[in-house]
Amino acid sequence: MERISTQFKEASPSREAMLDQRTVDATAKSTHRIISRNVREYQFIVPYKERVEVGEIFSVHDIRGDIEFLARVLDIEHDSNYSGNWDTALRGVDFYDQEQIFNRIKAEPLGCVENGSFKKARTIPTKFSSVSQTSGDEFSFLRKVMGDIEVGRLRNGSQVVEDIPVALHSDAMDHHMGVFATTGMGKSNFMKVFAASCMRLAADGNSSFGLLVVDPHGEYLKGTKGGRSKGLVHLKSFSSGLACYSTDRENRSMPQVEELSVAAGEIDPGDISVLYDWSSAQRDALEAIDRVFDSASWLDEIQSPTGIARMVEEGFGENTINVISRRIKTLLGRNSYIQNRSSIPNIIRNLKEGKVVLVDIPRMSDRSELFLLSIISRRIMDEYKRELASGEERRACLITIEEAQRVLGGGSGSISRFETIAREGRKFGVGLCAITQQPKLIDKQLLSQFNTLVILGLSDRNDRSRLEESAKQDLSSMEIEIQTLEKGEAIISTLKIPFPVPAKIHRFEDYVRTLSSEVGEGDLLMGRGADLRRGGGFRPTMD
Amino acid sequence: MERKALEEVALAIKERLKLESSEQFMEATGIEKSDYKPLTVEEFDGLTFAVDGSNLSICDWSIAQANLIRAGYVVYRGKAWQRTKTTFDRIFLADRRSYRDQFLPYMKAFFGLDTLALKETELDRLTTYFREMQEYIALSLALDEARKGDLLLYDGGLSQWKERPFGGALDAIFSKAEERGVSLLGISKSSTLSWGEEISRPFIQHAAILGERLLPEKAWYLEVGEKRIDPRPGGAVRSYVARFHPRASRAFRVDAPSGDGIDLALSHAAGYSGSAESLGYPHALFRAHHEMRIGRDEGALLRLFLMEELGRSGLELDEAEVSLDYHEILDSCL
Ligand SMILES: Nc1ncnc2c1ncn2[C@@H]1O[C@H](COP(=O)(O)OP(=O)(O)OP(=O)(O)O)[C@@H](O)[C@H]1O
Ligand SMILES: [Mg+2]
Repeated sequence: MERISTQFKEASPSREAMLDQRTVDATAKSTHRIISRNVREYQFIVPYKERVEVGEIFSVHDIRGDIEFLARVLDIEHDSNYSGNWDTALRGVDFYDQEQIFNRIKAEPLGCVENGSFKKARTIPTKFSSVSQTSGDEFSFLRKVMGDIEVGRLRNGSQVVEDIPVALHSDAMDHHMGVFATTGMGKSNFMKVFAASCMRLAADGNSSFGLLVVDPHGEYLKGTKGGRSKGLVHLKSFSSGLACYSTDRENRSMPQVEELSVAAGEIDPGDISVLYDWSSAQRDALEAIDRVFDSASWLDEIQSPTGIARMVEEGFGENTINVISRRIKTLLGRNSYIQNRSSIPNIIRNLKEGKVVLVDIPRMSDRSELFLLSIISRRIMDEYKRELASGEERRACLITIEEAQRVLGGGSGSISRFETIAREGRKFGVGLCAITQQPKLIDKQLLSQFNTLVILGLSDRNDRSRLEESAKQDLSSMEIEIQTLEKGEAIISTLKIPFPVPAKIHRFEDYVRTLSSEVGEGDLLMGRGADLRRGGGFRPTMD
Repeated sequence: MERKALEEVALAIKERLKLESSEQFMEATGIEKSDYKPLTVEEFDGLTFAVDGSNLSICDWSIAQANLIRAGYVVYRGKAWQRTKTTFDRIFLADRRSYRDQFLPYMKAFFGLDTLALKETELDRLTTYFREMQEYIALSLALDEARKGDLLLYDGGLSQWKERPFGGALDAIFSKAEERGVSLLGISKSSTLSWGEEISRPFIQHAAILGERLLPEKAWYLEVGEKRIDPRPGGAVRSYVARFHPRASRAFRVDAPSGDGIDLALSHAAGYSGSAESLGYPHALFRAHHEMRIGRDEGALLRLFLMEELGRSGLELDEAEVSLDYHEILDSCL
């Protein structure tokens, strides 16, 4: 309403000036209108035959001017303009006004876009402002807030918004990240896409952190055998951003793969203590080892009769020491990669250069994998701590842990090494990327340290509510959406992107093909990657 | 209140509402069985226009009231809604001293009239009159659009217009309707027509009950012109009671400028009174009512904007508030 007065200045105003003639006719398209409700929830209506999905994002075009509010659908209800139960009354068979029956949409405000930039909304849209499904163009403000590690494209409901890539920020990566999904929903695929984008950054000299991936399932290097899936080595154009180490004889024979070795001297009693549930007597003995033996030779000594005798002399029970000695023997016997040489210095150097380091340990047991990961992580932490003290410049590092609930479950004792990284790593530039099917088993406090959450389909309610409780961004209203995520669909909550973004993660195989072909066509020396970074993202080719 | 007192009130109400004897009603009013005419329910090709208006108090400063007034009409072809036209949607500031400046430009522009005299007692109802005037303007604009054979429905009575301030405006509307060959019916949602000697009894409702007894399961109408009811419809306008649908439980009072073609006009109205949304009431009027209605939320929002605007105009918020009618303060604290 423009005028609120009926006093006229002129002597004989025109009829038009005296009235507010306005016509809405049957051809008018938009009956989507904001009708209520407050700063925390908008409600609008759409024609009852129109399909709307939970999670879809809508734009509210404010009547007052150049401001647009964005809101995400939380719930959908049947409704009509005419109160009463006429539409269920028995006599009611002859409806005249179909368009007065509609669905009422409840939506959660995401923020508003004013002059092309996004911010949280401190006010509500004007009542009766029109509402429409947010289109590609209207999302363009999101391009500005996206980072450099592309992982997929924006998704609106189940539709992919082709033009808007979803990309994480490198400089948020020392803040820990979590990848959560029920089995088969796409965790490994996500990690491969993530690693591929990191390889691209490293190959272009733009990487600001190294990514360590320890893969006990043998799926990252070459993909799974027989299947159509691919691995990181297939991304040849960016191979300079990748360093691979393997325990597998066949894989080691590939030119770009080195044999993995760990020197016995690198192992310390703490690495052993991570592996088993020790009694308190055994734990005491383990802690004493440092004091009793020389750190270079303890591993040999504790396995020898003289060494065992020394520990007994120190007052530890013979049985206790025998158990420790026997377990260490078994461990060393099983892990043929323990040699005189060590790959770890190289691994750390590659990480510091910002590369993706893949440690391929197919068919390795759970315990051995943890043991290895424990040693490497400790060495990384020590090294980064030392360098921080020396003031040397180096890139941050992100350590990936599969089945992270094994080591981040909270509780006391043996597995606290990773929890230490989770708590203190940031100071030294070391972050964790925890992958798990069961976030509910991860310690709440640790979870609250995660600044980037990649949530794929989670079928267990307890898993979802654990994430909602601990996430930095508010996810509480997204329960229904998380529950209904399809394979490869994700919600990504991260620093620098102002609200949890719905995404469709690239299928790794498509991503590899597209990255390779785009680079292949361009000028390899001059323009590599530049076109890709300019935005627009990649478009998968069809199978 | 005591049960006993309630019981007495209930009895008094019952005495008025219950139609115990058809004969007594017929004798008192002079209505006969043959006065009830069956109504053929007839669909037609033309358009149905339905005019309505509403008002909502935004702020009351005792000496002047701000009301949002809205008027307009909906257009149907058969059962299919075609469009809704709002003709007026503005805040009217009612002031006993300056009302002429607000009414007269409209009277002149739309009805060619130069005078408007309200009696002292009528000044309390300025807002109602202004809304009524806007509804008449909407009627006039709808008539501009209508063609021969179309039906124009108005939410409200058209009777006794001679004594009312807008007699001239209605005259103009009636002759325009006649010129253009448009049937105009005023259909009232409520009616104070009554019958009886010592107490008032509802005429329309009792006529409807009798109608159901005489012509069960039928649509019908009845002219009330010569009957003994109160008040007696006056002037040239003819008044009727009509039941628009065979299964409707209600009948309505209908006014028409003249009796010519009333049978056809009522049949056409009955042709589209069968919707599930409002069985027995012309659907177009039902829609007009909903489309023109002003919601409470909308009023509250407008009040907020008005206060904002007042602030900008230089009136402090507490100055605006202290002048508000104290009812507004009391009621808003509830
Ligand atoms: N973004 C995606 N687009 C298309 N297909 C996908 C996507 N993500 C995963 N898939 C497919 O889903 C299947 C399972 O994916 P993936 O192995 O990544 O799941 P996972 O969560 O790691 O399962 P697990 O718990 O068994 O490790 C694979 O066949 C993969 O190709
Ligand atoms: Mg997996």
